[in-house]
Amino acid sequence: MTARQTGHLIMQSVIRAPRAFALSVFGIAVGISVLAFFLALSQGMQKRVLGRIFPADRLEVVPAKSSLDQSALGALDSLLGGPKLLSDELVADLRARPEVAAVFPRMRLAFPVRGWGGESIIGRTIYTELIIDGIDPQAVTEPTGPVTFADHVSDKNPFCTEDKNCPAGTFCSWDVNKCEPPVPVIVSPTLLELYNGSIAKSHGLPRISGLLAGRMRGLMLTAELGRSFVSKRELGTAKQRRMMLVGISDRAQSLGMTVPLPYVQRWNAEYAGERAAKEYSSVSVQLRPGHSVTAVVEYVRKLGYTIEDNGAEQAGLAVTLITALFVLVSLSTLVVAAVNVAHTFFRAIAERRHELGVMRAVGATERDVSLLLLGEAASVGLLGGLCGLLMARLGGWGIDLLSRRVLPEFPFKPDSYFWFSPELLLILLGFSVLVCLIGAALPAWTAAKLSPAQALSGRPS
Amino acid sequence: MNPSSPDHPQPAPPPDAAAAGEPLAVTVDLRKGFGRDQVLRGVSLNIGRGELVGLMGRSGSGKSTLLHVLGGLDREFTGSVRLFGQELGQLSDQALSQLRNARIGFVFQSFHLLDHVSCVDNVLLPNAFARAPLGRKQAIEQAREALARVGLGDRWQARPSELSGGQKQRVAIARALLFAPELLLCDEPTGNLDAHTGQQIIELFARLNQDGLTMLLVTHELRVAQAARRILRLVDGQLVAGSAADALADGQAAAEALPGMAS
Repeated sequence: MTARQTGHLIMQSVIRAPRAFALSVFGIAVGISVLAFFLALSQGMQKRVLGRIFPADRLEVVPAKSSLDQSALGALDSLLGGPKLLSDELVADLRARPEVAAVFPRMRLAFPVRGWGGESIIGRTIYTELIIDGIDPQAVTEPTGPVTFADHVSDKNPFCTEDKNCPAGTFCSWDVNKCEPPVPVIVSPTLLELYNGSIAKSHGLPRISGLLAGRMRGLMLTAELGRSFVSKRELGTAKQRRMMLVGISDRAQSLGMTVPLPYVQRWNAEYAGERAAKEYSSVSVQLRPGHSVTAVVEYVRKLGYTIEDNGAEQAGLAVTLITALFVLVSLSTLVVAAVNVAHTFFRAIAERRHELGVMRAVGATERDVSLLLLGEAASVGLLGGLCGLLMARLGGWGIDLLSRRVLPEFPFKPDSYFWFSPELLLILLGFSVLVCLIGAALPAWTAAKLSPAQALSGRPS
Repeated sequence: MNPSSPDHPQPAPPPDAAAAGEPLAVTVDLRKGFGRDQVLRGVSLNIGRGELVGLMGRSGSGKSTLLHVLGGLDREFTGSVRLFGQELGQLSDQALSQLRNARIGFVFQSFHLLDHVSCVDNVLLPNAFARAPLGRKQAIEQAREALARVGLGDRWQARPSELSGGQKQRVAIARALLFAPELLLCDEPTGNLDAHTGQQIIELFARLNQDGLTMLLVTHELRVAQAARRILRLVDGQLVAGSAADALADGQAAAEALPGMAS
């Protein structure tokens, strides 16, 4: 039997009993739609929410916490040198690993800094303590401007005594009498989300999004090193530096500002000592796609360091568990649908016994009968799968719409909670067909093995 | 299936089965049972090319079973069944299906038409399972020719539900004739028809036979048997010798046994 003839006969069968066909399609569609809905929700949460908060291809290596820290022996541990420090040697070791694409050391500022600014965006001057760290400038791949995210301090910078001596876009650092571009600063999307979701609303400040986020580039503020609004402790000679926001990057620390590493190294050396200028606070490891995270984690632990526990593992586990629960429910629905398909086909075979007998009499082989029934099942699966995916997509749109219109703003609120990847859609469509084929397999085999004489005479098999 | 088991040595073909022309179907010591009930008990017969053979017997005598075995619809038997020179018991499902498709036509008492498709699609059903199916256009032309041959050339688009019993049986005959079979096996073809319509069908069979089609008519009706050139009597699963009058008596008894069938 040719594919065309098979298709023709399947169409005739479908048209003959549209109600039974529609019921089977509906059963499969419900199962597939529930499964697709929750899998897409899970993928969406992983990709659009968790992926933004906790990038899956990054690890943050930090010094191991000693078990003695929590006890009275903590002092002894400190005497013994404390936890192993993050050094250039570790950075070199990690860069040599085949799983590692790049390694970027980070360093926290080890002394207080205060700052003020923000008039152009917020409308008034904000005074605040500044939490600053530094990162290797190469880590930042997002576009930055008007000043590049790099170290702009150089002996070749022109001499000055005040700002008006300096070329446009540079400022006079009076303590070294050099014209310098402002210190480039990046902030994280997390900080923006927190600001928009909590601070802006509670303080009556404008939300920063879209156009306003673009305008933020170039925002100037002044930082005063070694001084604090919180404590009266003063370190060394106060220095003022102009800083400029040059971009938003997930390489920036979550709560605070990030500047190029050389600035932090120089300032730590000056205000907190040479050791503070050599100890990294963490090392950011970028993994190559498709490589095992576990191998790197094990290697890091073997070296006496640990991975920063940022909650990603727990959050991912929670999402996975919830998804697994709903997938289990969806699969149960599909099992019921498959049983329904089997029942429908067994009933159809009983009703079409004479028809199948005639087909056999006029030349249908056992294989033809099987193919015909499995083809009908596949068409149920295909149509049911397509309807189910459409239902899931519509459900997703509905939830997203409801979220946009009803739910208040909160940090990391996504535009869509769902991720219907082409792979997911194709896999589910195939799965839908497979479920129907499994459901119809036994009825098709039974029908094929029915002797034509039995089918025509109505004798029991 | 065991068509030639040592338990059932093959006897020579019966001498009384001398048929017109070359034998087209030959059975030797054919046995068939359902559980403990032996329905066919050593049937040996020959059907020659171009013959129109009537097979009569009381209800339950094994007539339909014999037709099913001869047509390759039932493979569970012992003994030998040769059709077109091929031992049916040795054919695969595919080969047997191909044989049914290309060389055998079936006509059943209850027509067995597909109610949800038109007459022409019913007639075209064998084309779906042909080794080299005809193209749609050519197939429809051939199906319409087959319908015209049975006098239904103008009803090719009608659904079976729109036809009378006689017309339905004509559609079934047209379906059987689509690929010009060499053997037409009819199981009580007039059983569900009134006398007048039944007579028309018998006349149609006679015409087909005159055109050279070999036919086996299973019936318990006298008028159908009268159309046959040779009548076989099946009694308790065995072919028995006897005159046409005995066969007619069987037919009479069978007819009387069925309410509303006496004629």
